[in-house]
Amino acid sequence: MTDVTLPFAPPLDAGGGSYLDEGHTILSWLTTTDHKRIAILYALSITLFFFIGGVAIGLVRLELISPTGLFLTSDEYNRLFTIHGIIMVWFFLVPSIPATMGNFILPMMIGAPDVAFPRLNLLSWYLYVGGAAFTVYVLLSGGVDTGWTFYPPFSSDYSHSNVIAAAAGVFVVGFSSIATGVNFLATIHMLRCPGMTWFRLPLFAWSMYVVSMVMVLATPVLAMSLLLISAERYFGLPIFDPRAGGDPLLFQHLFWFYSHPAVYIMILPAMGVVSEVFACFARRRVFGYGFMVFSLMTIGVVGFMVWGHHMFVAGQSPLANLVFSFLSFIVAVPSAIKVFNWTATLYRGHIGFEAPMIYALGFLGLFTIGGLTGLFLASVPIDIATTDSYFVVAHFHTIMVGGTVSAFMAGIHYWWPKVTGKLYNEFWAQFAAITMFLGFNVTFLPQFVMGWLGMPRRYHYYPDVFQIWHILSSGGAVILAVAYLMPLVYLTWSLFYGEKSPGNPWHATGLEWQTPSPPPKSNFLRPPRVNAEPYDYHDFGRAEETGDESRARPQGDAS
Amino acid sequence: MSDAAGALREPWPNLQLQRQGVGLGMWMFLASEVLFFAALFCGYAVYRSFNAEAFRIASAHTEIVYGSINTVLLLTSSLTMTVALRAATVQLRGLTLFCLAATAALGAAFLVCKGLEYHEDLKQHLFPGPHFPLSPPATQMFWGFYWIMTGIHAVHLTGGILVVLLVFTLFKRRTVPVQGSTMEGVAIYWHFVDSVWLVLYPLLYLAGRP
Amino acid sequence: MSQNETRGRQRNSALTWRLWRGPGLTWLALLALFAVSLGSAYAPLGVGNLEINLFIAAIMIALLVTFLMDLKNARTIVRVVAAAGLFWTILMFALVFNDYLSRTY
Repeated sequence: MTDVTLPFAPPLDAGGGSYLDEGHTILSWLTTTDHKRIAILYALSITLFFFIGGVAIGLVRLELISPTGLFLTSDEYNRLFTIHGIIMVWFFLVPSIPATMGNFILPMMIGAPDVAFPRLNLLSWYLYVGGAAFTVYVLLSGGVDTGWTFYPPFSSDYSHSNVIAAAAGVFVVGFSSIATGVNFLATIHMLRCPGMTWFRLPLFAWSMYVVSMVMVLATPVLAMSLLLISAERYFGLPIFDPRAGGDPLLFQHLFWFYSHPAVYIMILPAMGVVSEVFACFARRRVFGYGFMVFSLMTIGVVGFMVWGHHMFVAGQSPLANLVFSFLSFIVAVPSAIKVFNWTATLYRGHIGFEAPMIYALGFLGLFTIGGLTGLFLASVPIDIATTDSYFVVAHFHTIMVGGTVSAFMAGIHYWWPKVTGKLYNEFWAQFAAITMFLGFNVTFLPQFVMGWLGMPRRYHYYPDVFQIWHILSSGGAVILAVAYLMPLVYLTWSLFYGEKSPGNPWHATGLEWQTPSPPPKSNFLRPPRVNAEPYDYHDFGRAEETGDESRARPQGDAS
Repeated sequence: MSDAAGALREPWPNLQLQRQGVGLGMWMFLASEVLFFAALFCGYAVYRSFNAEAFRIASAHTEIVYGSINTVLLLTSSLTMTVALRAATVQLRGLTLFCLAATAALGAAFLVCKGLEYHEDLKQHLFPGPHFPLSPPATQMFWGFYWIMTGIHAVHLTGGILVVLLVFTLFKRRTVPVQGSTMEGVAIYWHFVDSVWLVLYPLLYLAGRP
Repeated sequence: MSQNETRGRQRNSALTWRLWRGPGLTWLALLALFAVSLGSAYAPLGVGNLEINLFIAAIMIALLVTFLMDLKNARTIVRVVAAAGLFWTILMFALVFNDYLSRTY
């Protein structure tokens, strides 16, 4: 009999309400130090920015229906794809899962009453808002046209757009990342409840640990690279100027030293979410837990050693190309281990196709394709041919949208009952999930094809031969847009009219489910204690031939 | 004992764990700051390895006297900061306050010195631009890095001084007890700022001396 | 002054001396190393100057970190974090210089 439940101590919060009842004013939300409320503040902010970034690319995809453009000048076109990249990377993807689900679920998952530094947590949200304010200013004052990559000498010497304001926005939001990372690391090190040993941590907690490590170590290098181009631009200091012995490639080294680990910042939390969802909806322990942890750590560390694969044609030495290419192949191995282990987790499982599972299955397939196309790009000869083509665009969108956004949606739906205490409408959620998967493929598979055929990225005008692919891709984007708007509707609807959720609607294991939904302010009614391995859905050993009921039942104070 | 209770913050179960937590958190922030400066030093290192002679010529024009005085000031401030932390841990409030004030004063003296030095540098037009007096062109690269490296260090030091003054005030008014976890974090940060200078000084001041 | 008060003051000044002693010694060592670094900069040693200065700076930082930041007595995880900062810095330098030093142009 599993016992992830709680000793019989007197309840701490007898008769109290949930964290949502602690103050109903806006001020109580804006001055909260409760990790659960801060998570919701983040969720609202990143959703807003997701749609702003989406509108930007919607305009781009509309424009690309015609090879000679429809309504944008080339300058406007440049500014639109730039702001799409900046917003989506730094104001949506990087904070997405860590700042929302990490903040809300991580302390509960490890049995802690809050994160280690609650006031720092609130500060990190305000830093996000501060960075966002710069970005809104940039948007309203004409935008920036350097691409999200800010390469000099264009960004420092030639661009006539708001480079410094954009760089400042990213600089500030970077410190939000670092603060969150420090907070999570300290929380996991020091606030695990009795019995929660390192190897009893759920994989989502492990993924938060590794992503925090990456955020803390990588983000400052981005901050410095942006500071240097801003200094070059504002003060005229010749940092990357060849006339003074400088090298524009130094910027690329520093920028990608962060920006490659950044893509791991974007995918590691997604991997954590998906591990939780697969285990729960297949009623199976995660296959190879130890290897899953090892893979997370390896990706986090080796991910710092591969950044030069973004610079194969930039002017690096051939030796550097060789070293970075080799290391890029190596870093694919732990990701592949994870894909095999997720698949093995599903094997002989008792699979339910609720919305979180559909999103997670979509993740599995799309992450595999995205990862495999990444291997193509890790090979220097192929990369030389496909660099700066739509093949690269399709590759990274497959991982970031097909991967991370799918996992984000999976996590939102999985933990929605816990956070809000309401059940969403399963039919519409499943419909949206399938629509998203289809829309994604119609948008990005044509991009793989046209990239391979030679269509360059960031081009406003293009040869007629690519038009059919662009039209397909833009059509797919419309489907995707619908699929993203649907959750806004049915999730909001569920807040007001949804059925009330029991404490553990999915009969999942994990400490966060052994407490009421929505949880009380101190997370648990009684001090939690752990005596079992994670994912205790069945005994160790071979799965039963017949589909037997999992023994995980609502426990503890989940009513 | 009511003093200690005032220091305990959510969600920590006891003060000792809180102090350890703050120390750990501050070291993690330090790791990120190390990489922040490492990126800058990496750029400097790359350019110096390819323009050694120009960097030597450029470095000979830095104000060694100001730089050396500043080094001594910062080293001494690290001493007073260490004693402030130790005094706080054994609840010697008077000594803690004295050492915090001394640390802030030494830091302020550093900034005054730096200001005077900047004034000297600008008088000689040692700022990359049309009136830059040195050649070859890579000397401008050195001086670009000089302004950025010392500037960012000064920003960090100023932040440190403000925090020390704030903490001094909080302790003086007994808003926060000295034996809480505040001193841990402040001390660790201050020593880091000093360490950055210890790398910066030889790189900027000691190159072109013979 | 009562006997208790006297003893109290003596204990306090003994304690104060102990508080200053360790850091004070470290401070003196740091000043000495600084003097060597500055002095050696005036000797014409070519690239040896840079190597000596950086080496001394490394020792100074090691002393500061070990004795003034008390890394000597810190928990293992704190030392791991400090080592991580150092390791990642070395990683950055190594892979960046791997490019620059192998260029033939």
